[in-house]
Amino acid sequence: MMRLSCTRARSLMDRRMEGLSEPDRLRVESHTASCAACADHGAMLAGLVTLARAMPTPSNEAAQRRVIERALDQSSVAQPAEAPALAWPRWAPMGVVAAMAVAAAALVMWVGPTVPSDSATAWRVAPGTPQVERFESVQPKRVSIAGAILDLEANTSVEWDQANARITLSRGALRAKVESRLGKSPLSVRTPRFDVVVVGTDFDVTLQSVRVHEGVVRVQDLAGHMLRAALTPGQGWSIDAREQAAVAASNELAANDPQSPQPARGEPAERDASRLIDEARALLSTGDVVAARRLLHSAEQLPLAIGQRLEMETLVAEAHQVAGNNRRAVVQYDRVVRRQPSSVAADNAQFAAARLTLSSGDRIAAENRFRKYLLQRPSGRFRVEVERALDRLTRGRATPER
Amino acid sequence: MDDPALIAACRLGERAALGRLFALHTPALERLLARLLGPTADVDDALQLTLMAAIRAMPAFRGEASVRTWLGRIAVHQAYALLRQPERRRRVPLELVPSALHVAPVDLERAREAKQRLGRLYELLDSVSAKQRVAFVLHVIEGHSMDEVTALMGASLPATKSRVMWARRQLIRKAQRDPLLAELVHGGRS
Repeated sequence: MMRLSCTRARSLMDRRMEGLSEPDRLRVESHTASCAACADHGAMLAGLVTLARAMPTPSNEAAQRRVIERALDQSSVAQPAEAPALAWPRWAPMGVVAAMAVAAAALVMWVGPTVPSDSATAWRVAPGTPQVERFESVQPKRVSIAGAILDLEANTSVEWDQANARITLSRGALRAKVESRLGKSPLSVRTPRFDVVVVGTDFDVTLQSVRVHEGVVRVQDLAGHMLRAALTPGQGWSIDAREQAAVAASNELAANDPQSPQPARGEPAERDASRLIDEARALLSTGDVVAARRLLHSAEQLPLAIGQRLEMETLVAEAHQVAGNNRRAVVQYDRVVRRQPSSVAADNAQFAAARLTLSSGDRIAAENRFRKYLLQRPSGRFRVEVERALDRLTRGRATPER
Repeated sequence: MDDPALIAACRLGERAALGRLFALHTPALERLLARLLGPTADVDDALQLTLMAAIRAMPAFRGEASVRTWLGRIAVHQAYALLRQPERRRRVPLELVPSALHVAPVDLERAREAKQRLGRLYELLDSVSAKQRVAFVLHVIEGHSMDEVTALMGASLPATKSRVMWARRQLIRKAQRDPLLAELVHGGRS
């Protein structure tokens, strides 16, 4: 039997799921029996495939049906009366079909690639005009906008302002499930009396109250003053008579002064941020990176003191590190150093970045980082460790730290 | 076997027919998208975009391929488009993994580990280019032949092979360095 090269053996291992022929299987087995590296490679690949294939289908049959219904609704299938311009004209002659497809594609690109609109009106708005969609529900209705699923109760009226990422609730009540908006502007739900600012969560809003099912939201008045810095799952908030008066006064002031100041860093907000950061740290110590990141992202949306921000950013770096993404962790540590170079957090971050660089195997870059540390921090907290690491590196006896 | 009458009704834009056709294929499409994108909130969006694209393209569907292959190609295209968005790479999913992994409810520790490993696997896949990732998932995880992957991605055979190889190489190298995933080597050997 001809001996396989490692490259060929690994390529055949890829086809494990597809099924190998008997001769190929024997050749792979013979190769892995004598090649430990390929045996490890095969075992790792098999483990990863098993892991990925064990992932359950994310939703159930009812959820799938809802997605189908939404797709049919949004493509205006069988709803010619509501959306004549999109009333399934696709069986028209091919030329017309092609022209419409091009136009639809252009509009979809303009609206945004992941922002399916619930209403046909959005598809017909000319570029450059303010894009505000209105949704009215006589009966309970589900709509999807900008990655948010809104369950409107009966007799509810909302407007979606895409430019400001704002949903205005003028009548009724809704439940919103919003995907994470990291990297995008926060989405807000505006009622006549208050705003709910959300970065990725599941919550109910009526004209008087908010209840959070998942994630974190903050509630502020229409002028941007904080009413509740963070509402967490299970928590609710309603506008009582006293707050109504305060909010009304505040809104009146805001109406008279369009340049009204942004919310001050009030103590409650800072307390909430501290709590989120503490919880994130606790979660990170248990290895729950996802939950920790979610809290950190929520904290990021709050007004933070500089110390809190440094702490939050350091934890983000640590989350990358725990997740095994050293490169991102180093970038994040560098960000901490740049933000407040003279702080203790920056000292820690600079040392951590150098150590991570070393553990990634890039000894030259690590050596540069350690030297830079000594240069910039002659009395740094990690001076001894850095000198020791440099000594090992320069003597060529260093082994990557784990 | 595709039902010609159902396809014909779908071409005419009959809502009920489209609903029936999609109901048949949605579970497979959702599974495919979940494996391509990872257990993120994007899966629902991608599925909906896939179905909407299929509705738009249905009049042009000539029946040369099976509906399953045709929808699969649209799904792969949508997933690829989503994976290419830079903001997606920065996004932290709300819930990386659905709570109901296939484990006994009492074995919470193992369930947590499985969740973390799966999340880690998809974090590593996030660092691979979108084309390489899609080719790798289709061939190695989904078990499609190279020819099928070529057809699904609309790429040449050498390009597809190269993408799979590079993705595998990067992924295994990173996974072997990852303490959580490195444990899989022992599980994989047993």
